[in-house]
Order: sequence, then structure tokens, then C-alpha cells
Amino acid sequence: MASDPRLEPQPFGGVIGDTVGTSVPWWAPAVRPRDGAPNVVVIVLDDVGYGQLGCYGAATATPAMDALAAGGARYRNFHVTGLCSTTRSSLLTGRNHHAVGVGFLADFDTGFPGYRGAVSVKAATIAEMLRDAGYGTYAVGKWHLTPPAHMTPAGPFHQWPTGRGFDRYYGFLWGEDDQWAPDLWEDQHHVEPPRTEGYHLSEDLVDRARRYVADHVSAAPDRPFFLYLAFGACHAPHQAPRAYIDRYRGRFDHGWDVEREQVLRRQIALGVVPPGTTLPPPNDGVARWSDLGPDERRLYARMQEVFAGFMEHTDAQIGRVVDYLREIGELDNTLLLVLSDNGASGEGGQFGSANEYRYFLGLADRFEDALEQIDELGGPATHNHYPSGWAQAGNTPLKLYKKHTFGGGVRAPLIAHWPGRIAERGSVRAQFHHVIDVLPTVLEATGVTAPETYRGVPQLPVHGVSMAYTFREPAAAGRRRQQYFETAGHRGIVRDGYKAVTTHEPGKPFDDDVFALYRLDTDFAENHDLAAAEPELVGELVRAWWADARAYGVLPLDDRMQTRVAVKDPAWKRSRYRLLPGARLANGPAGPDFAGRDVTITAKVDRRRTDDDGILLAYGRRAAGFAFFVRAGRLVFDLNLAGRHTVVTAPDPLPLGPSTVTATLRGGAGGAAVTLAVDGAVVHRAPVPGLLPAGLGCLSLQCGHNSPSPVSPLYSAPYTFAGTLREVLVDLGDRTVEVAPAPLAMD
Amino acid sequence: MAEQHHPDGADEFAGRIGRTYRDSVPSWPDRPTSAGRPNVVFVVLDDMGFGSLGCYGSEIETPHMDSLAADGVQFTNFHVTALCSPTRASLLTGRNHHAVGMAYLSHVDDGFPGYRGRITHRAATLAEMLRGHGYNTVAVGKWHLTPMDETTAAGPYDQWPLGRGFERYYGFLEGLTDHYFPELYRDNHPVPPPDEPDPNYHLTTDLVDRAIDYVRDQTSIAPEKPFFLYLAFGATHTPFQAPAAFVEKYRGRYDEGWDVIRRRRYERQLATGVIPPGTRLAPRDARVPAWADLTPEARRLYVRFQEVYAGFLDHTDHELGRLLAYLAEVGRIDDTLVVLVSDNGASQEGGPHGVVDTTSYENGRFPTLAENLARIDEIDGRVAHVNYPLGWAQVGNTPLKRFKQNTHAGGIRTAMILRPPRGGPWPRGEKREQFHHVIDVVPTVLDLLGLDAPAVCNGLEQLPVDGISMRPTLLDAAAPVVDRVQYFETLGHRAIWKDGWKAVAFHERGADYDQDRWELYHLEKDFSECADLAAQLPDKLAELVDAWWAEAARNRVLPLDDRGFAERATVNIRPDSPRSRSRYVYLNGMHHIGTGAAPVVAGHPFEISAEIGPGEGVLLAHGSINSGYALLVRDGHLEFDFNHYGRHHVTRSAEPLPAGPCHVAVRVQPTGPGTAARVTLRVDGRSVAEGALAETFEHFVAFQGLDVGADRFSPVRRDGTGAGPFPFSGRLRHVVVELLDGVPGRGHTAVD
Repeated sequence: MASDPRLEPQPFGGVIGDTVGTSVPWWAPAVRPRDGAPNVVVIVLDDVGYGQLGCYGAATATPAMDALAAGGARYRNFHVTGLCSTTRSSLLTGRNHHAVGVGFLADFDTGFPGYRGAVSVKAATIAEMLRDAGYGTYAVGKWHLTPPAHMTPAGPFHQWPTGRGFDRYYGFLWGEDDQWAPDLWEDQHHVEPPRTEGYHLSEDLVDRARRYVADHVSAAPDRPFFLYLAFGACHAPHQAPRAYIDRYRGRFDHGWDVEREQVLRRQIALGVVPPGTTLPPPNDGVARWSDLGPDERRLYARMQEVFAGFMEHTDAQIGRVVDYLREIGELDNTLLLVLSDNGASGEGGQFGSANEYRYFLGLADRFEDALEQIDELGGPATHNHYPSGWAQAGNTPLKLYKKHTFGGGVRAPLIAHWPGRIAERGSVRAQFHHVIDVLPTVLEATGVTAPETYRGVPQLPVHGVSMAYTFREPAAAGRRRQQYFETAGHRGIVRDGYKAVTTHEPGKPFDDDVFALYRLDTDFAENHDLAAAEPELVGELVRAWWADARAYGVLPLDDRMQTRVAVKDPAWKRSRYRLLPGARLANGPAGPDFAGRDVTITAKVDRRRTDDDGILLAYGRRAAGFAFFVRAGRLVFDLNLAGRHTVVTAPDPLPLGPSTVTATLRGGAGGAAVTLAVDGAVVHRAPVPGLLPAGLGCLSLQCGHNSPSPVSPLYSAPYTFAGTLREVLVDLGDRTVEVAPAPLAMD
Repeated sequence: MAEQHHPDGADEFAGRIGRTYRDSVPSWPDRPTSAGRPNVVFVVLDDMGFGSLGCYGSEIETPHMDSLAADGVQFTNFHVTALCSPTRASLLTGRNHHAVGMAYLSHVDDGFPGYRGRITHRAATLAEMLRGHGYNTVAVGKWHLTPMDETTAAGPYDQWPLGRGFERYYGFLEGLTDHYFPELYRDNHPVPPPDEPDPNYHLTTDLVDRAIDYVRDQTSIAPEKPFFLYLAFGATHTPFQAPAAFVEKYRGRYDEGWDVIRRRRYERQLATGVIPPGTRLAPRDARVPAWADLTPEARRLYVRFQEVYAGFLDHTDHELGRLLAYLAEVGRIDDTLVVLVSDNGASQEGGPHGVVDTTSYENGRFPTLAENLARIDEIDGRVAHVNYPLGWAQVGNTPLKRFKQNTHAGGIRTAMILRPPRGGPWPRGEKREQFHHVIDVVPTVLDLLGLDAPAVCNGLEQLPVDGISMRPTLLDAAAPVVDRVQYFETLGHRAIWKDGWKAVAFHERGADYDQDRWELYHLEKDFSECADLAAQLPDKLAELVDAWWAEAARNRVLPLDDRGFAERATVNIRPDSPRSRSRYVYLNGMHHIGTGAAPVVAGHPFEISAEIGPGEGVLLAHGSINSGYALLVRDGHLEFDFNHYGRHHVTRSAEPLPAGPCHVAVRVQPTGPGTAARVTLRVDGRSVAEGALAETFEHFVAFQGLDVGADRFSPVRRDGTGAGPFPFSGRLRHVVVELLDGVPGRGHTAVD
């Protein structure tokens, strides 16, 4: 039975007579953490590599974070998981991510306990724990722990931030969003961005964070708050105000190889990388800068300028948070942590991309496409990502990228700031720790204990250990001995300073994977493989890996990536959707699964005026999707395959009055066509490149309107149908095309 | 009772786990589903008396509600509690209101288990129950179940709609709000008001729009799931506010006065079977004069109040009609169970002459006839906060005695319509005379849906459900009345119903409860409580009074408390309340906070101060155009605008403020006699103006809350500063409010 002070009334301590005059009232003591318990602010950066902050050796200016590091401590042996959802699930629960059901991304539930894509109710979050101790709890920004099937205006909401312990929420639920036109949710409802002119998501998130703090401190100055601020930055799309980007013009013309060397030198000077560390050889697929042609260098340098501008802009927003906390007198009593969720992303591949949706769609990304848009990179017209060469530089001096269990995937920056509570301010901590250790650290700092039962549900033990001792004793011996890693079949384990690690090629037998062995203590960059020299130790570590895998729900191993979307909980499958105008819902699992299927869209409209134009059904955003609409009185279907538009327009205007209009996308492996019809009569048919591919990312389906980001360049958002739209029916055929296999082979 | 369901289903994994996914078998949990069950829509009307709807005998046009009755079953012997929060607590939990902690209003935590002003988590709401079975749940409109000092950003949120089982919320958390300037919340956050209000805005319309929005989303996304929509109108609670066209429709229709109109309603009730043959029309309340005895001036005044009321209810019906039409349009009305209920009888809070400022009731100072006559043309405007005079409230309660707050039938017998889903054995257009109580609604809904109340919810063992299913009554007009006892208690007024008999005691505030006179009625034969049998049947009376005490003990009704709302809300400050401190530092940029969380300044010496840079605008505003106070800088001068029911007493610095940054302050010091106070303005510590307030507020400033750095929603300050919130243009970090005599309340110390 729960003994939750918030829910469970305590025994009455007064006296009850017949009337108030003969009675003694009694109130439960206030629910408060211990005296002096600090506010807690956790700032999560996205896809920021070990070497991408100024205080970790980057050329990028990050003065706000550098100042936090100078006033607090930096960690150089802090580890995370290889992916977004997984790190966040561990960060928020203090448990291993497979154990709480987030073995992979929240986007997929492949039908196994470790891979539900949602944090188990057996693992209360830090917000749930702190809230019940009297904290106000606020989440702002990226969440990525709600199954997409739940991302609808009708929920369910128990895996939304407000369902997992946060009092209030403002941000985007999926793994990334357009910084200029995001799909935002507040608490449990959809909202449009507050403005379009001069809007940037990071600024909006910080505006909101400051407002949450203002509200909290004004209403309850005697209760601390927990602010979880997770930026979309610096995940792709890399988008920042032009002025920030232009500050870096020409600064990366020397290329990624030279950049790596410079970063390493600075890292060693700063103490965030041990002296003597050398650069590992370049990752497979990363060309030597000197081998690139001038157009390639020009494009790739620009992509890194954009990234650096994005990073600096993010830092400026963090500065606005810190300044505000100082201004209102709360900074001194705030434990503030900044970390990244995983290493820099290699998902941009060899060329980078002006539209990352090509990656999600499994379309080839051509160098020329990006070059054509070089001057627009970072702005609203692109959904861009830098090439893996820059990700490699971002992860200096480590190997590989996000998703991997080598250092480049799982070693991340961590800055702790807590005035008066951190010894040797500005110094670097070398103890090995993992993201599961953050929650116990916060609990120790706040004096809050993890519940054994939460809302009637017996809880998993917390797997992490507190790092708070490192605040007081910079050189203390590390308290974490062992930690396993697994992401998409890539595996690793650290024990007593050694690390066994392997990459895994999708589709190959796991038993064929070969583990390397590194002495992490002395080999920061995992350069010297000791596996051949110490086979017994490798065997021991691999056995330990399997033991942890069994203990923490890592099995069964799964090396599928986006194709996991096809493994869908049968409960969610439908072949007909009826959408009413104004409705909006998230992608595949919550709505129609378009991938590889014939699609018929039927709209019942009544147009009274010749200019009764607008959206009948839109799916997606500027970056990708399709839109079925009426423009200049004519039916139009625009298939937007990551910026490659095929527009099918009826030759004649629709007649006025009521009509039933349809757009049918039909085809197979050999190609496809769109047919437009009015009241059953075909009015136009035209070929399109194909059916919709799988893995279209998190796009929303919008009935009768399209905002804030227009799918088609033929109109501007918001584009709302001006006539009467009764309903839109979406009918799906059987899957006729095998859904896109492995765009991720590039990793 | 059933075990609780978790939305992710049972934890058992029915698949098989090998080393890789290829040699494993996936499995997904069975989630609870209610596919095939009907939608449930609750429509809660506020302060609407028994005889106010067309189908209950009224001349007010309510065709859509009447159509629900025609399509369902109309209950004529349905009882509620005598107040808003308690009825809502019982309606949503199926338990007695004291038993769940809601003896009184959510403004008050008296310090006793039955009087917490919050529903214990040992009593799951219908929303929590249905959500656990796979329903979508949404609440729109009035809530009044969150402790008012917990309605700030700092929460806690466990008693907000989302904390009590609703997946979405849009509405107001207070007991009432202005229909043109509502203090709205969406899910867990306040909705900032528009800088320029839409002149055509009306809250009722907005609420119905939101309900329609939700149905649209839910129908598009999860048509296989049923939904529970809880739609609680602000109407027809004070302030009565309706679009002009709806009020115009009733012009002149009440000129014959309340005696004639009441008799007509009574006759229609007899004719249509709303009341049994032989029912007497209760005598005119002792405090209500005969219409014939009124002066033409008084009649002219009183009629205006009733015209607004009628327009207000008619408008509400019109808006509800839009929702019903939408449900029909999208094909969901047939699969919908609708329950329409009023939370209590018509309100006596308008006093003898009606009020134009509803807070005058809270402060115990009803306006005189002359005062109201002077403001007669405000009554149907957009500014007034109107409640009607007792005479019209009694018409609202035709044919019954007394009013909201009282445990005579006028307070606790209300309209109730249950319109079942299409199909099935359900009767249509019939009436039911069996005694029922609002605690019966949850068990009835569960019974009709084939569900049980959970025995455990959120890990907490649940209180038993006190109500009983109305299904037998619903199916059969001749179904026997269930053998039961039902107590009533509000503000010391007591009553008990048993086997068709009712004992009831009116309680004079402050009087000895033992001196209350119990009356005895044989309700089965005396619908309107007109023949007191107490003297004739003392044993029967004693039996009932004993039963009342037994029920009181069992349901946490004790200790009896007859103190008024404003007093209880301001002396009983929990240690956990944001009000349990004497110094408030409000950061510029914070959201509006509700009045129930604002400092308790009435009757206390207090000071408001701020460090400001040069600029103009409002530093702090609490209240609305109807009442409140504001500290502002205008034309370079510091001003304290004390708005006493629309009369502005402005204290203004003689000299302009200095050119640079300065510290400004206003101190309000009660001086007596009565509520008189002295106002002192200071700049950089130097007194720059003094003023005297002949009257301030006895207990309660306003229903609208507090803002810093602007005057949002309905403006407190007098005209002359332009429309909109008049935000302060200079540097303003925070505003400090200090109660100079410490934390209000008795016997406990401040946290800080």
C-alpha cells in the first residue's frame, strides 16, 4: 500500500466534537523537502558531442556553459546511452534504460518488456519523486518518451510529461523538431507557436522556462522547484538565427581533420582529455578533407558554421536561464546540471543533408541537392544536418557517433554547478559515471528518497549511485565499477577501468561480433585494442555483459532500426480513418500507416465561393509529407518527398456546391500514380515517384488546415479550408511495397 | 468492487524472450477497452432552481433541455446538496460530500476530515474510474474542487481536473467567473487573456466550442473509444450575463411580478405532472414582499434582474443545443448517455433587492433599493455582477421553500434529466417520482455501462460508494423506492430523508444548534413541505433526528460549522498554503493568480511596494472593474486606486515621481470606524500623499485575482488609462505585498 503524503491523508491529529466550538482543528504538516534543499535544474543538450562545448575544447563560443563549468565541475568520464529516448529514460529514472522498457527509441514498441518505448510505471521518474516531496516540477522542450501512438489530442496521456510527474509542460514530444515552426504541446494539448516572425524554438523554450520559474517563485517561494529543460538543439535540423551562423564564416575552412587536432590540443590543455591522448584514425566513410573538392569543402564548411551558430545560440539561451536565476536570487540555491544525451550524430552521412527527411525516408541524399541550398542552410527552408566528418570532429577524440557504444556515442559532457557545494571550482572530475547516476545524485542533494511503492506499484530498485561525493572530493575514488551498454545491437561494457565493446552490423549474427578491449583509464580514445593480448579478460567482460543483459531486460537483441515501425502493436491497427475538420494527430502509430500502401482520401466539401480554397488533408511539414487541397478552385495533390515535390493538379476548377472529392495514391514497386476524382468521376491522373515510404518521422496529420509549417510551397501556413468540409476519410490498402529497409546502413 | 486498471494493461509478458528478436515471440498487453460502451455526457447547471426549466414548468424557453427530457427520463424527486462544491464532489464520486472531505466549498480547509475542501483520493472520481476502463475523459467549465490556494503555478496539481482523472480541461477553477473576462485554465496552466477582448465573446459559447473541439478530435482519433465529457456551465450562477438579444427576448415578460409567475409555474407543474396532484404552492418566503405591495420603482428594478436571468438560462440552453447538434452531426449522439443536473437550488445570495456586485454578498452588505435603482441600467450590461432578489429566486424554486444553502427542498431538490443512449429498454419522455440523490449518479452510470467502481485506485483502498443505482427506477415508473436514509447538512442547516419522511432544521448563523427547530414532513404526500407534523409526531421526529446524528457521525459531518465563506477561507490557513506567510514577492512576468491564493488584505494593514525604473502603467492589480485595488503610475504620478464596488477612491502623489529609479509604496492602515482605513503613498521612504477610505472590504476583495506589472482581465482601475492591461513600461523586477500584522488566521505560525 502506498504511503504517499500527497495522496494518503495522515491520521487526524485534532479533536472532533459536535460543533466547531468544541473541536480542535488539525492540518497535516506542509509537504517539504529538508531545509535548504536546492532547486534542481537539468539542462539536456541533444546530439552534442564530447568536444562541442568551449569548455570541452570546441572552437564554438559557449560562454554561458563555460562560466557554469568555471564555477562548478566538469566531468570527463561521464557516460550516457547511445540514443535520445534511452538516455532520457535513464536520466529521469536512475535505472538502466532496458530495465524500464526503453531499450530503443520511444517511437517503437516491438513487443518485448525491454522495448516498450515507454518508461514502466515500476520506475517512478525524478519528477514524480521530487513532486511528492514538495517540489514544483516543470518540463520544457524535447520529451521523446511518449509512444507516438499516444501523441494525439485524445491521448492517452499517462506517458506524457504531465503523466510522469511534471506539473506543467511546454515543448515537443518527438525526437526533433523544426526550430522555426515546431509542433508544440502545452500540458496535454496542442498549441501553435506564439508567433511566426522572429520565432526560434530555443528562445521560446527559455521564455517559458523563465516564466515557469517566475510563477513558481512568486507563488511558493518556500518550496524549491525542479526544471527539466531539454533543447531541440543541437539535434538536426541545425537551424539558428543568421547572425549567429555568420559569426563563424570562414572559421572552419581548414576542415575537419585540422579541427580535430585543434580540439584535442585544447582538450588536453583544459584537462578534459588526459595528456598523451592521440586521435584515433578517421571513422569509416569520412573522407580526408584534403581529398575533397572545392565545392564539397565550401558546402561542408558552411554546414559546420551553421552547427556552430546553432550551438552558440543555444548557449546564449542557457545564459538567459542562468542570468534569470541569478537576477531573482535563486542561483545560489540551485543544483544545475548540463549534459548531452549522446554523442554527435553521424546521421548526416557522407554529404550531410539539406533535408534530413531524406534519411528518414530512405531516399538517397545527393551532394548537389545540398549544394543548391547552401545559402539557405540553417534557415526555415532547410532541415539540415552536417556530414559525418564534422560529427567525428564533434566527438573528438573519440570513435564513432551517436547510436554506437564506442566513446563517440556514449561519452558526453556533464557540467555540475552548485554554488558553495562544489570543491575546487572549475576543475575536472575523472570518476567513471553513467547517466543512471544523475537521479541518485539529485536525491542525495535534495534529501529525497526513492519510493519503494509508487501509486500502488512496487518499484524497481534505482540502479545508479550518487555522484554527489565528487562534488566534495574531486579526487575521490570512483564509486561505479561496472556498466553495460547496448543500442541497436552495438554492445559495450565497462568494468574496473576496462571496456569491452563491439559494433554490430545489422542482419549479421550477433555471435560474429568481435569485441575489442580497451584500458579506459589510460586509453581515453579507445586506441589500443588489448583483446588479442587479454582474451580471458575479454571473455569475462562479455560474460558480464550477458549477465547484465539478462538482469536488465536487454534481450532479445534487436538490430532493426526504422523497420521496427512495421512491428506494430495490433491494438492500434486500422484501415479507415475518419477525420473531422480541425483535427490533428501525430504520425503512423496514432494515425494511418501510409507506408507502402495504396491510400484513398475522400473529402466531403461544400464550396459556395470560387475562392473557397484550402487544405482538405495535410500530412507533414515543409520538410516532407503530402497535401491534398483546393487552390484557385482546383484540386491539388502535392507529394513532398523530402523537398522533392510532385504536384498533381486537376485541369478544371471544382464545381461550386456540395461534392465528394477523392485523391487516390495507388501503385507498387514499379511506381505509382495519383488519381483525382470528383463525385466518382476521374478528373485527372498523373504518375508520382512511388507510394509513401516508411519511417516518415513524426509528422502530424491535419484535417482542413495546415500549420505552422506548410507541406507545399504553393501556399503559406496557416492554410485553412474556407468552404465547408464535413469530413475526410482515409482508406488504406494492404501493404504492397516492402517498407524501406535500412537507410541507417550508413552508420 | 473491481481492481484498478492501469492504462498500459497488466504487466504480464505472454511472449517468449530468446537471445535475439528472431528467436523470440513478442507480446503486447491487453489494454482495458470500453469499445461498445456509450459516451457519457454530464451537463451541470449552476444555482438553477427546481422550477426553472421549461420541462419543469418554467416559461423560460429551454427547448434543448426539454428535448433531452422528451428523449429520456425526467426526475422530479431528485436531490443534491445545498452548495456547489459538495454537489460536484458527490456527483463525481458517488459518495456523500462530507465523507470525501467536501462538507463545504473548496475555498476552505477547516481543519477537520470532512471539511478539507478537497476530495480524498480514497474516493476516485468517475473520470478516474472510466479512464481506467479505456474511456477518454474531458472536463469543460466550472471545477470548484481544487483548494483555491492550490490553483497557482506551484500547485500541487493532484486536485486539479487532470489530477482527478480528466485527460483534458478547459474552464475556470473558481466558484464563479465573469462571462466576458473569465479566468480560464487549460489543462494545468492559466490561459492568458487577450489584450483586446473580443466584443462578442461569451464564456458559455467558448465552453461549448471547446467541448465540440474535443469531440471532433476524439472522434477523429479514437472513434472506437467512448468519451466522458463533464460540461459544467458557469450559468446560471451569479454573475448573470447574457448576450443582449437573449435578454431583450424577455423584456416585459415579468411585469406581472413574482407572485403571478410563480403561480403560473406551479400550475404548469401540476398540469404536466412535474409535481403530484394535491401539491401545495409553498407560501411566499417571509423575507419576500408581495408583488402587489411593491412600489413601481421596486418593481421596475426587480423585473430587470429576472429578465437577465431568463436570458442567461435561455442562452445556456441555446449553446447546449449546439453541442447536441454537433454530436448528432458526427453521429455520436445515439451512443451517448446524457445526465443533466443542477448543483443546488436557486440562490438567495442576491438578498432582498438583488445585487449588482456579487461580492457584496460575501461581505455581508446587501445594497439598498435606492443604491440598486441608481445602477438599474447596469443590470443587463457587460459590467455588472448580478444576482436576483429573493423573490425571483423563490420563483426559480417553485413550488418549494427556501434556497441554495438551505436543506429545505428549495435548496436541495433540483432538475435532473437522464437521457439514455438509443436502443435498449429505456423509456422516453417519462417522469420518475422516486427519491434519489446526487450520489446515485455514479452508481447508475457504472451500472448502465456494466462496470464496477475500483476497490483500489492509485494504490489506495477506496471508500465504499454511498449511492445506489437508479436503473430500476429508470426502467419502471412503479419501481419501489429504495429503503434508505439520506442526510443533508450545509452551514449548519440539517435534514434527513427516510422512508418518504423528512426532518429538516433551519439554522440561524451563530445560534445554538440545540435550539434549532426541527420540522417534520411526510414528503410522499407533501411534496413542497407545507404541513409540519413535528408537533403531532414527536416520536417519528426523534427517530429521524437520531438517524441524522448517526449519519453525521458515519459521514464525517461533525463538527458542525456555520461560519460564512469569507471568514472560513481567511482564518483557516493550512501550513501548506501559499497564504501561510505575511510577505509576498511577486516577480514581474508571473501569470495571473486566482483570488483564493492572493494575500488576504481585507481587514489587515498592508503595504505594497516596488523598486521601479521610470515608466507608466500598473504595478499590481487585484480584482476587477467590480471591486479591487491597484497601484499604478499614471502621467508620472503614483496612484493607488481603491475600487469599492465601482466607486474609485484614488490617492495620488502630489509631485511627479523622480526621473530616475525609485522605491514606491502604498500602505493601507485600518482605522475604523467599521472598515475605514488610511492610505499613505511613499516614494523613497517619503510620504507623498495621504488619503482616507471611508469603507473598505469586510472580508473579500473580489472574485478576480491578482496581477503584477499589468491590470489584466476586467480592469480594476478607473477609466482614463486606455483599454487593455496598461502594462508597466519601466523596469520592474518584483512587487512586494506585506501583511503588517503577520499571517492571518489563528493559532499557527508561518512557514518562513
